[in-house]
Amino acid sequence: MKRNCITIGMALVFLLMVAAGSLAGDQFPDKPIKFMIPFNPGGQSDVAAQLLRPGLKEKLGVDIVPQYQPGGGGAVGWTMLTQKKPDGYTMAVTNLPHIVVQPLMTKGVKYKTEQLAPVFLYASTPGGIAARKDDDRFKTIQDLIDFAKNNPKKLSIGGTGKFTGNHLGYLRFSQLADIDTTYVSFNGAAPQTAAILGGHVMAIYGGTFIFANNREKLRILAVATEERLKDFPDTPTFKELGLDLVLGIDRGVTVPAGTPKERIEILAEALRYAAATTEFKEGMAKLGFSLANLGPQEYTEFITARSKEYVEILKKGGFLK
Amino acid sequence: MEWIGPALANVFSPLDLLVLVAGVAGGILVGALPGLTGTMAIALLVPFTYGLRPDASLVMLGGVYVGAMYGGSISAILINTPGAPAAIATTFDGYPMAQKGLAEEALATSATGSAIGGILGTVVLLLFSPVLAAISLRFGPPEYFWLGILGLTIIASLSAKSLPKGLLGGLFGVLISTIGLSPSTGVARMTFNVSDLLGGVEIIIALIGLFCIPQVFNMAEKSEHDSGIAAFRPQAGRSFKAMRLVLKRWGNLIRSSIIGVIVGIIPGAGGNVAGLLSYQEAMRAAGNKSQFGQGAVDGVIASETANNAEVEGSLIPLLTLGIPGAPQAAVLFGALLLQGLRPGPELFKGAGAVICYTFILSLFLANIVMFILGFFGSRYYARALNLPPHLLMPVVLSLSVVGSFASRNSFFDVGIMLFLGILAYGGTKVAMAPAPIALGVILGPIIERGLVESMMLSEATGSLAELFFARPISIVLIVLTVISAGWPVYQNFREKRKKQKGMGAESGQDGVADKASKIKKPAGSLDQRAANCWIAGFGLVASAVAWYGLIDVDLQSSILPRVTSGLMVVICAGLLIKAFRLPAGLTRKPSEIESFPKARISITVSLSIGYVLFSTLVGFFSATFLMIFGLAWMLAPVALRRRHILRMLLVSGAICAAFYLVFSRIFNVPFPQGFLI
Repeated sequence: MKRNCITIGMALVFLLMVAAGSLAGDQFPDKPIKFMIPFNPGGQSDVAAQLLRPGLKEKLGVDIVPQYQPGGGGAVGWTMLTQKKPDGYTMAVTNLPHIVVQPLMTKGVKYKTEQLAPVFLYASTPGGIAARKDDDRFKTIQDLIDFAKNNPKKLSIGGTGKFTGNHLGYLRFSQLADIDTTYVSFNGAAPQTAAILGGHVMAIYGGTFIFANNREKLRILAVATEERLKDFPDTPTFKELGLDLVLGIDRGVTVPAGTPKERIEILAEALRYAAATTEFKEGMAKLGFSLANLGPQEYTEFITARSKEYVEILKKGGFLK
Repeated sequence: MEWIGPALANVFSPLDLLVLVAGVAGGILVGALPGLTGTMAIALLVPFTYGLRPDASLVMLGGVYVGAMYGGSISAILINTPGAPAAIATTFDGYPMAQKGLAEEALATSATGSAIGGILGTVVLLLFSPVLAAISLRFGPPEYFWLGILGLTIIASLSAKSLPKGLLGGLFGVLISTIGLSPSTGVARMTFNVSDLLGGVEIIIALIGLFCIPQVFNMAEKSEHDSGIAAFRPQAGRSFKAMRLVLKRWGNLIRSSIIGVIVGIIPGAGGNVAGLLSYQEAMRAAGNKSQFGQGAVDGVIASETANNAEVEGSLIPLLTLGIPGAPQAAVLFGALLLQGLRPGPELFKGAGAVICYTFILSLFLANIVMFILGFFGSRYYARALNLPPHLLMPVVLSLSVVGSFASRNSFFDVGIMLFLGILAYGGTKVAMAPAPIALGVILGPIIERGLVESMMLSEATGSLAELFFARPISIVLIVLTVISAGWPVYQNFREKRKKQKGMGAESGQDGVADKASKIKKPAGSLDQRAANCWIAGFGLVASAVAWYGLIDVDLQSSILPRVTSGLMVVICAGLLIKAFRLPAGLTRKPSEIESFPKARISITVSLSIGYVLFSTLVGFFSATFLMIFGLAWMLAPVALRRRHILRMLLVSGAICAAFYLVFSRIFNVPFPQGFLI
């Protein structure tokens, strides 16, 4: 009997110690955080992530270890993220529309959009349409639309990949303008830029950073933003032209679903801090990104709203039933 | 011209010199380690250089780019594994040179060729950028397609002895390259519902498997004292002799540099294509082409000169148009923008001109530093081969596992690497060379992109044929393709005829071919009939699997893999027909079968597989330590085991420590952790 009491007592002490230990260990974070980049080193998503790292380290007080997990346009990395422990020690660069469209459109993609818990949205790359400056046929977006109306299928528009931000933007534009054009998908922004400059396609639907780097050769016809861009004050938005098209690539950070709310908040605060540093803001401006600032709740709502739009575009295009 | 003074002052400022040397040295190290690439190193350095002076930051990154391109040749020569895909053609002759005990010469040749290619490339970058940038824009989808096909014709030169086998290998490579998401349509092909396959098979993974693993097994196969590699004996003046020899090949140097620059300016075709095309041209230009593949100095010169000239070539569209000509250049693009430098014509005139020219001029110096480190280091790098074979073999094996893991931080990739490696080793027994497969893997994506993009484009232009056959650069590429494909076939035909006439119809061709095959045939080879059956059987299975993985895939996403596997079936049928016309047991020699050391090979193969599985269970470093020590112990001659035990332990420990330092600490590679480390 006595012995039993001692055993129970010891067990209780042990349990208390464990509990105390876990309470003390609740100082999140107390070890390095893995920052997964599901793309190749040096890509746009990577550069943005690298610019966030110093601020994150400062705020969180632990190392932020970048980990490249490229493949399948991000799908391999995001799938891997959903398999990680939801403890806040693994977060990943996450792009829209990718995480919504991939599970819908690509066979073999294992993750679901809901398995990624939004933390913070820090930037977007607006899309837009441009043609060559020495191509006199296309001086305004109306020229482009008229040409397409008179010559169905003859207008070639270069984009990057299918079911990507650029492709969805292109689809939306064609649907709103009610034109039948040809989409040519290039493998990234570099070949896309080369294709328009070399005259292999008539126009491109691409990120505005391409336009910024080629402003003496390209004529930007319209941008898919709510308001005109500071960098291109003379370029109209699609909205001004009566086309309800606001679409780009939105970049944020997610963690595996099931991560405790408090930890998500801590990470979101740190990201907010890092995204407000001058180095980050200046760097992003030089790279042609527009800044954004959405916390976990707003980011979640943002994804829901955008998803609706993406699905609508895909349904109209006949890609989804 | 007013920028010359300040730019030169920058280049020779202590800070720039310091970061340049550090960049080049780091680049060489990264390049030499398979799996770590210059792209990765530059990307990791970009945030760090953000705090540096703009000119110093670019000088450093340029140094890494140049160094890494050369570094790839070191592992290509010493262990038959291109440290980066760009060095693939260097393995063709560099490794045979090392096997003959000429490792130092090969390394010195590579350093000299690389430096000359780089310097000539820089001259072009400095003087002809605008003109060449305009040419680079003329390359559209159809031109990419033909460029890829032109590259594939190298198979005809590489496998003159058995064209069908070479072609089959090339097609198999193309098929592998189409696994995963289509780059143009985003549709999954042949992924069999495995999400790791969505990303496809990375080129470097395939190269490590195809080139490195068979060598590992070959080393295990050889008798206890002979690794198949002649010992390297340092001797004064060897590298200088090699350098003088290189300098005499000015025709090769200039031709290869031009090819390198041209391939460099084309966005989307990298150093690997440059090296391969230039290798092929060197082969065509040479009088005695039988030397190629057996350790021809010209082969090493061609590959290395071209891939280092490609570095500067890829910077031409980057600096003048803002279009990076290679992945490494794409990372540099980000660095330029972060420094507030916007590529384009004004970069050469405006406020950034001094920085821009500092960068270009520093490339001269980077190539010279690279030459010094490479050339005078050759003797020391070559010593790595003097490790006893039972130690060299497990070290190379661990390096290939680490490299294939680090490339994408994926253990799945290690599995693919090992699978392809064992396949390639099996290939050596049926006279299937790995090079054509590698070519297919490298060129497949270029061909596919060109083909599918052209198909999309033709919906607007109306005619696919016009796109493919009526554009000037396409026509040039087609003519080159026909010449490249036809020339070796014609030469082979002519040689056979000559021999038949000279020696009498009967003994002629067979006699010579047989002699050659007798020398080269590895232990355990199958006779031709059995070999053909095995190859055809494998090819048919692969095609069937491919077709199964392409069910329900649309035309644009599946056209290349479908055509490829269709052609494979045709070739396999041909091989089978040929096989049944041959008498059985024609070339089989009992002695060969007996000499095949079954026990050693099965130990090695099972330990390799066990090592990979074990790493995820026990932890990577413990598994590596155990594997190196265990294999060394088992493969070592019995008499040496006890005497060498300390050495084995030391090497195993040192290798693990080095992996930890370079891969875990510097490159943040998340090795799997088990219950140990």
